[in-house]
Amino acid sequence: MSGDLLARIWKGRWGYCFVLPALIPFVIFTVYPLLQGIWLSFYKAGVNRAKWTFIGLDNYVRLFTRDNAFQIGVKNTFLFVLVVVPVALVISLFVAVIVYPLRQRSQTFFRIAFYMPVVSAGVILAMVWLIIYSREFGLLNASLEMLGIFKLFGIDKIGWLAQPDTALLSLSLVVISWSLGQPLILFRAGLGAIPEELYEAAKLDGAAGWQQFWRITLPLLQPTVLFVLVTLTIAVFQVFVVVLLMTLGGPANATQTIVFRLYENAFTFFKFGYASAMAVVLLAIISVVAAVQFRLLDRQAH
Amino acid sequence: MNRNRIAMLAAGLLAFVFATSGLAQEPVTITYWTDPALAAPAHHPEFDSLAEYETWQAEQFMEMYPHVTVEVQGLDWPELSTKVPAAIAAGNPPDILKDYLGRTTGYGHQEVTVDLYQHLPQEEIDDLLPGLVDLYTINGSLHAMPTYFWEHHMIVNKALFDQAGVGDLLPLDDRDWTQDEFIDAITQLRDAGIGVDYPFALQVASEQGDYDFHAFVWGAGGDIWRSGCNPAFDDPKTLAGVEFANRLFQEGLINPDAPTVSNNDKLNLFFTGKSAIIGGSMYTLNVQIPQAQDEGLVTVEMDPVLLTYPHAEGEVNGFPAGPTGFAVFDKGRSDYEMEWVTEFLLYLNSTEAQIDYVNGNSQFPTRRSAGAPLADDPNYQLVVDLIAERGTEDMGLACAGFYEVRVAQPPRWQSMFLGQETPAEVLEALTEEAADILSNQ
Repeated sequence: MSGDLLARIWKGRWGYCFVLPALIPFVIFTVYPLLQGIWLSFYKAGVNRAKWTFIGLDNYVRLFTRDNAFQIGVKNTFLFVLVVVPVALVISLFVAVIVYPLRQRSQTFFRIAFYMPVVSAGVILAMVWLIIYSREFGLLNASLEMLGIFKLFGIDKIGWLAQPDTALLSLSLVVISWSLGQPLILFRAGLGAIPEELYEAAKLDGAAGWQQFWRITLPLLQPTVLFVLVTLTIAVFQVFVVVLLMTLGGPANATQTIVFRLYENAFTFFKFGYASAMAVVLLAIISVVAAVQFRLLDRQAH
Repeated sequence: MNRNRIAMLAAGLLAFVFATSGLAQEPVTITYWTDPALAAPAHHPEFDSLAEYETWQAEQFMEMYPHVTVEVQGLDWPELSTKVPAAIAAGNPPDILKDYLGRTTGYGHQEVTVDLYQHLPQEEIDDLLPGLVDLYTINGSLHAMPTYFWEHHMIVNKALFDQAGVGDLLPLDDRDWTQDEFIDAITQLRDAGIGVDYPFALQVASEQGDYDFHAFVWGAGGDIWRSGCNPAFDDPKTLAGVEFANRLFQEGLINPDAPTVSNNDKLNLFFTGKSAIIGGSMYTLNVQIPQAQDEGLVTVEMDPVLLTYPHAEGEVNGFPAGPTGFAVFDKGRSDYEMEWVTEFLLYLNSTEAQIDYVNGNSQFPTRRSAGAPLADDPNYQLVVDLIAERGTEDMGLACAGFYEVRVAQPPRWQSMFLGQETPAEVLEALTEEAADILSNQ
């Protein structure tokens, strides 16, 4: 068996040589830190390496039995994923379908407009959104006040980030706003790969626009949908910057997430081992969710 | 050439070699990481920022000692808590780090700093304020050298109280007021209808706002930390202080977005007259408010005065004071290198440098020889007098687990303000959490 494997490797040696320049940095900068992180998760490890001690599964036990903030973070992270991923997926697909038939110049405009947040600094975007959401000085409350919404419903100005029932949704909106660019580009490319003849044949058969979308566009976009779904889910599971810059996990842990809690433990409390255990749990969650998505959608895509 | 001439020539040559060897010493490189967040000293107008000033300081040192190379790196706030611990864990920390006590104690407790008692001359240690030297001593080691400290008090916009016709309710004679006097004054101010919607601007979004909040606890005679680094969340007086802060919030005397408001927005409430009182330091009073006025951010008449936080009848609350210092990391350097690191440390933290720094930032020097650099400022003198009269509060900055216990608090204050938990429940939860944190250090 191993002889077979070695023989196959030898047979494809030139191919391996060609992928080596990409493989070496991958091993050094991804595989090795990953293994190191897993190893570290079994240690009580602070900034002083000389004091690192092996504690087996203690970090994991603590995570699930005593760290209330982490458990809330897990729940909130799932909520983020459940809100952001479907909404961003549907909006970006919708926009791609609407924009695709437009002239090239208009398409370029929309692509740039939606892609802009992807290439802008997260700090700046977060600052802009903080100004929008500010209870006293914010654009959102000022607009609602100007439109007479508060008077109409007899309510006071809303602290969008200060109330637990609005904070998570407000942050989700921010994450959605900068999650649309990439899927939009991918869907646009996917739409371009669908043969025009299929739509022409459907038209001859009397299929309406909506039917064309359901019967031709969506099925043929399945591989792209799968890719977007998986990458978007992975990205949203790691939601961090908006939390760090806008709410610090508050109010009362309403926007606490796994990665923010991980960051706090690693870089505020210097608990590298404990933070690594959180990272391993996150890795396990993402792997399972991605595997399920692949299994469900890949079957449909083919 | 006779023997005498040869001997003289050889002696001359030897003398030359010895003389020049004293000048051309072995090169040393020192890395200095600093938090240049505050302003450059006022009497150095050629510098726009503290980072420029600190780079200039290093250049001056290198001119004096050409064999020494100092690499200065200005870190921002997030880098102080990410880059530094990562560098230490990787075995490549800076030689010297300037950071505040709450964080350097973390390094001290992890035993990655050099014991400065072993390297600083005794007269230098004797020149530092003894209370601060004690605070910086962890398990018998001086883990860093304190360089300046700030204090925290209330800053009240008297102009708004005057406009509302309640200026006489401010205790300007002794700067001291009880909780009842405080509530009476701010309620009347709000009800006067001059636009002061939330008299006291507070943020409990992050641990950075905790001095504002803890001040109410100290005012009630409570504590966050008891001596011996024991959390005091189970103290009935602590509960009284927390209940007082909660009462202010529930009665609309504190801004309703306190649970997540940013520090900038908190200041904006004060600058725009929606609030008339904030917690702050001499830096807020002498640097931030004038700066905001210059930038046109202050939209109301501003007459800031300094007051103590309100206290319960019979209680005397002190001032919180937080120092910043220079930590030297243990890098396994030679005695010779350590000698030059110490030399540079003493240069950075000299009496003159402290006076320079204090002048620009309205902080307090840690050296006795620096005297009172801002003695002409009546507020500065007032603070000095009030601290002498009322003492300082123990913030627990030097305790193991301090930062973790500190970070655990804001979510609890937030949930109390939002009505999810009562003050008693919050303190009970914090007692358990703190015990758990400390047992896991």
